[in-house]
Amino acid sequence: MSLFKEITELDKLLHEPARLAIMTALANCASADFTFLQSLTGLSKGNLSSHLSKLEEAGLVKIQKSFVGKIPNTNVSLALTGVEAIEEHWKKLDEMRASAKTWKPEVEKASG
Amino acid sequence: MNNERRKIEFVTKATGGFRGIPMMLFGIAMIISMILNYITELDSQRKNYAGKDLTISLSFILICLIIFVIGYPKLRAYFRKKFGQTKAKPKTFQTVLECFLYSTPILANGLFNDSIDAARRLPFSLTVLSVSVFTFFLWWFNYRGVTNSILYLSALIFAASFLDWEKVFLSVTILEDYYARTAFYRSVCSLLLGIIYFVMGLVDYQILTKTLKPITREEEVYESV
Repeated sequence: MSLFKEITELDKLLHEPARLAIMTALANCASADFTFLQSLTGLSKGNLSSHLSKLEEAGLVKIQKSFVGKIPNTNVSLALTGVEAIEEHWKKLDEMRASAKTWKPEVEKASG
Repeated sequence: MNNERRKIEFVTKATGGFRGIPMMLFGIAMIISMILNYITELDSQRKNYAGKDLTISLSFILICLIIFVIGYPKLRAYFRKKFGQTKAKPKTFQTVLECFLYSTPILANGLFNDSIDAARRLPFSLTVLSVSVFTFFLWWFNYRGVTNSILYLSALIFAASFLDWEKVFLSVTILEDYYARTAFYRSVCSLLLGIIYFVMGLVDYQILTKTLKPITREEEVYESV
């Protein structure tokens, strides 16, 4: 498959910068709370909620709501499909990065 | 892009375990114990060696306990409020390896201190070199792609391992007695390790505070409502 076609076929749900940061962070811990994800991405509470809802709808993350004392606490962790999806996505990006280094216009013309 | 990925990974893992603060506290504890070490050794020259070592070890453990019991919970609560919290993944082989790496210089310091004194004819200091190697591995496993500060620190210590420490000690201390010089040498090794831990803690803290945006008071109130 041509490099450019691969780029256009990337999973947009995962490739959006904020969601990619959230998924990458979650892949490196058992779970993270809402405050951490907010301080990591720098998003507003509403924006972060919206991104998390999209990821939850796609079955990539699991959201658990609880109380620590009287303060609400939202914990987010990766679902099994999410673990596979983010690993696969980073693998694709790494491969594309490697092939972009050796990319030449003639080769692209011949194959595409 | 990969650096950003490494940074996110680093920050997430660091938030689960430590935030640089415990490392800084550990460094401070080592520096204080170095001063105690020096005073104790000077005070008990040519006396019971086992007694001296026990005093040093106990004082170090006591200082660590006092600093961690008093300071750590308060700092952790403060950071949790400001930056949130992550739960670390179950321990893996790499975590065990990292723990081993953190304790290596302390072990090397304890094992080689006396033998280095006996074999000063070497063109380099084994203790200082072991600390340099440790720092390099630490950078490779933890900080590669995140910051090069630890790599520069490792290079600096590597260069320092080729210094003629005996001459350096003689030039900076007026102590003529052999035991006093050995005490000074031991203390400098502890001081070096203390400074390294402190610097690493500081680097961790810098990365975390630069990468994570603290939650403001307004947002805290909004969250609690």
